[in-house]
Amino acid sequence: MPKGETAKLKATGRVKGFILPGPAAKIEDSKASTLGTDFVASGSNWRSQLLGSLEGQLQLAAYTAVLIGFTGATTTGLWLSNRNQIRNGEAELQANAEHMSNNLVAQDQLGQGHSAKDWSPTVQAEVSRELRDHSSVRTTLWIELADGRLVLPTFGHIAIPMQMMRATMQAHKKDQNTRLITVQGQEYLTLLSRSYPTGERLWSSAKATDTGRIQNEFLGWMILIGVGSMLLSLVTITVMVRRIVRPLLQLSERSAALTADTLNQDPIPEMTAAPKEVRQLARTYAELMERLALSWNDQRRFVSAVSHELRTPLTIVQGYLQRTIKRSKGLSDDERRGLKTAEEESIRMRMLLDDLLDLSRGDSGQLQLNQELVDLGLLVDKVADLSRSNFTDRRLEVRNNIPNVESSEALADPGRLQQVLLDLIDNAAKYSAQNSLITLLLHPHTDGIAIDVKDEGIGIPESDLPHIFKRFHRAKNSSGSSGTGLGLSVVALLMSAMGGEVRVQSKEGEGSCFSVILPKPPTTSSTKS
Amino acid sequence: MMIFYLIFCSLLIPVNLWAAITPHLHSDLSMQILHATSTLVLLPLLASLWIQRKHLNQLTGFILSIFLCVMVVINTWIAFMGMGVRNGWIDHIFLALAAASVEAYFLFMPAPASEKA
Repeated sequence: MPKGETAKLKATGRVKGFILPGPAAKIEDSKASTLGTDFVASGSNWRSQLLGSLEGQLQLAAYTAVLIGFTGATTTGLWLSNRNQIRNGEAELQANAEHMSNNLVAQDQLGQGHSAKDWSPTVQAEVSRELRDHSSVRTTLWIELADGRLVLPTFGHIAIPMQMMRATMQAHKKDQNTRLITVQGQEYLTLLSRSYPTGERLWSSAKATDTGRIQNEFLGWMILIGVGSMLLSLVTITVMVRRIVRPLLQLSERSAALTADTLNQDPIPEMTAAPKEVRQLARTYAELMERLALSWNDQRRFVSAVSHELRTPLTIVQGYLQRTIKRSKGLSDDERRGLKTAEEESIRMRMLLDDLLDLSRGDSGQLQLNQELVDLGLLVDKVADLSRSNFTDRRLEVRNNIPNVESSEALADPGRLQQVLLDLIDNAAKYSAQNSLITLLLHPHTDGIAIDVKDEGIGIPESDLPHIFKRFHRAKNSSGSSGTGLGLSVVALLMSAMGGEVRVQSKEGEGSCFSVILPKPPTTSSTKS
Repeated sequence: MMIFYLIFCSLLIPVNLWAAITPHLHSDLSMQILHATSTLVLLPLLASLWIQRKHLNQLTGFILSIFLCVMVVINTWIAFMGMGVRNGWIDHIFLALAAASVEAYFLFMPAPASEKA
């Protein structure tokens, strides 16, 4: 840039995040916390994968729902199948026994009119035939007489399952509700069909049908359907969640990219494909951004207007105070000291207003700086002289490490650079002990030329270092000194506007070193290269 | 790995319920495998209960530990001795409950401090 040409530079955004104004800084903070959450959520541990994201939680919910449904359906199906099998068998046996009992009662061979003495061989033979007629390959009916003898069906070629009969009667003696017994690996459904007043008992049993194959088939189908449903629901959930989450992520990215400058520049686009609730959220968010932009503009205008309005009367007050101190005769020492204090405070207030004005101009892009070639060696000497007169109780040392063959010229606004260096020296003096050393070191830097302002003061805690250039931020250990927390943010703003930057190195208790780095003029560097 | 473990445990719930309802469906070997597997999956939970004992509700931890220890002992015995246990269906119901407790514990237990940070 040619010497003397005025460059209108937009400061905001030129230096990293730390010079973002208030609301934007908050947005930046929220971005940091969101990133932190994302980091935890994207960790490799299973809990984060499953429970740390909306997608994981919904997939877990879908899996649980399908598993519960699948378990319930299969278990109930199997249980009902077993129960129905028993009930049907029971009903069949009961109907068979009822029919036979009615026949025997009708023939006076059992029931009311019959007694134990009536069991002649003829009657037994007739009853056996009746029992045979109602028995089959799978079903067996028999009568237990009052004295324990058994009347069995007369089978031809079918063997009478005596073992099963004895097992049935023993099982019922132990537990009257016994229905299923297993004899020699064969399951039987047994029933005490009727007990007569004369002591006879009519028993019936049926071989249980082997339903294992049918149940296995049922389970096979259920597993196939269950797994299919589970996969389908997981795929559906994943697709749906991504559809919901995508606009939310977009919203989050937009929020993360927001600065004070872009508050009202990039409106949030209409999310037509998103669900209704997310669209509503996006609309509300856009409205919030508008309100925030309006509020931020109002605040900026207010600060600018107030600073302007206060500056003129303050200058007058300062001038009158100065004149009164210099010209008035007959002032007592107390009065002179009081006026001096008032003058110092007015100067401090004016500096504060200047800082506010600079920040306000920087935010609105109206900060105007000259970019010209400045001999930094001369400027540093000048600043050191000014500071020595201001800080008589501090030792100030200037060192120039730039080789004689190299130029110490850089592109800067000399007035503003002087302000920056005075601010840094003022800061160094404020936080260091009396007679301590403040060093101004001029040296070459890879990015241009650097001026270090080094002190032996209280230093900056490590936790405060990333925030030290933020507005109104003051280090934890700075409570002993007065200050607004604006000085360093103005330094960062001005350096950014001059195309340079400011860096800090510090250790608590050991002092700080602020490095002001300025670019060399392009012609010089091209000549060198 | 942990997710696969949880999925495997969840599948043991219906399998044990089927085994409880249809005792005649499975063979002796399949029964032993089921009991052995259902016992093995309880061991990580027991280990976690021991490691996390200071951070858990004492009563819940104690009851769960006792239940799991009993299940491990009984089912190890069944796994080696085979079928023929009276009221074996109750054991399968309890195994299903134990598998459900594995799910509940690992999904709902408080996150370790290192993960919270």
